[in-house]
Amino acid sequence: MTESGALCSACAMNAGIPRGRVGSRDDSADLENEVTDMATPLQIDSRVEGEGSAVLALNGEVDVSNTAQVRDAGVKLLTDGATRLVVDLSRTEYMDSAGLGTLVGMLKRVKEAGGAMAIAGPQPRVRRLFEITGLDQIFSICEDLDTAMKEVSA
Amino acid sequence: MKAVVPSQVELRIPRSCEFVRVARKTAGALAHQLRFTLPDVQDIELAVGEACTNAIEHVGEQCPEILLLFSLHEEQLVMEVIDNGPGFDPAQVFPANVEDETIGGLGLLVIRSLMDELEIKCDPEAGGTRVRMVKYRNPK
Repeated sequence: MTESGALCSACAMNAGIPRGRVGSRDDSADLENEVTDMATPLQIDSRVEGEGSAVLALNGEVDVSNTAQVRDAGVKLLTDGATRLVVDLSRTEYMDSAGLGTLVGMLKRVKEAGGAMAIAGPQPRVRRLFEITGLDQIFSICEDLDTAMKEVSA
Repeated sequence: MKAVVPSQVELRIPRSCEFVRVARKTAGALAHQLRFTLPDVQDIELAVGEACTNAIEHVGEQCPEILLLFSLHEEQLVMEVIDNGPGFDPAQVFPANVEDETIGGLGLLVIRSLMDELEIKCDPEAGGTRVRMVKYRNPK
C-alpha cells in the first residue's frame, strides 16, 4: 500500500477475464494483475497516487496480444477521476506499435479531459521505438518516475 | 555454436495475436545464432513482430495461419512473412498518422526504419501478401 493509499483500480479490468493471477488482497491494497495464459507476459500495476494522479506501470512485454488489458487499465484510471497520468515503462522489456497506439489513445483521452500525461523511465529499446516513430515529440518522456510525477503536476 | 549457413527455417503460426511472440522470439533466436549484435537482434524481433501483427490484422477468417520463412546466410538474415489474406495497398497506409489511435501503418514505418531492405508484394487477384525483410550483420 502506498502512502497515499493506492486504490484497486485494475480490479474491474480483469473482472471478466478468467485468466490472470490476483492475490488475496483487500480493496485498499496495491493490485498487481498478471496477464498470463497465452498472452504475452505482462504485469500491470495500476495505482492512484494522491488526488487526481495515477501511475500505470507496465512490467514485462507489451504487444498486440495484451494491449486491450493495458487500454482497459488506463481507461479505468481516467474514469475514476485521474487527470494526471504517468505510464511507468521502467520495467517494460518490449513494446510494439500496438502498444504505442494504446498510449496514444490514452494521451488523447487525458488531453480531452484537460489533464497531463508523461512517460517514465523507458529502457533504451523502448525509447528507441518512440524516436523511430516520432512519438518522442508528442509524449513527455522523463528519466524516472519522480520526474514524471513532477512533470504532470506542473 | 555457430549457425550452419546457408540454412532455411520455416515456421507456421495460427492467425492469432498470442502467437506473434512465438514468431519474434524465433526470429531473435536465429539472429542470435548468426551472431548479430544485441541491438540488431532486438530490431529483428520487433520487425518480425510488426510484420506478423500486420498480417493477422489484414487477413480474414479464410487465412488460418501465417507462414514465416527465414533464410540464414553468413552476413544476412532474410525473413519473409506470408499470408493468404486479401492483401493491402502499402501506399495507402504510408505514412502512419501517429496521432491516430488505430495507427494503421505505424508497424510498416517501424519495419522500414529497422530493416536494411523491405519489400511488400500483394497479389490482389490471387490474394496473399508477402513481406520480405533483410537485415545485414554488417549493414551495407
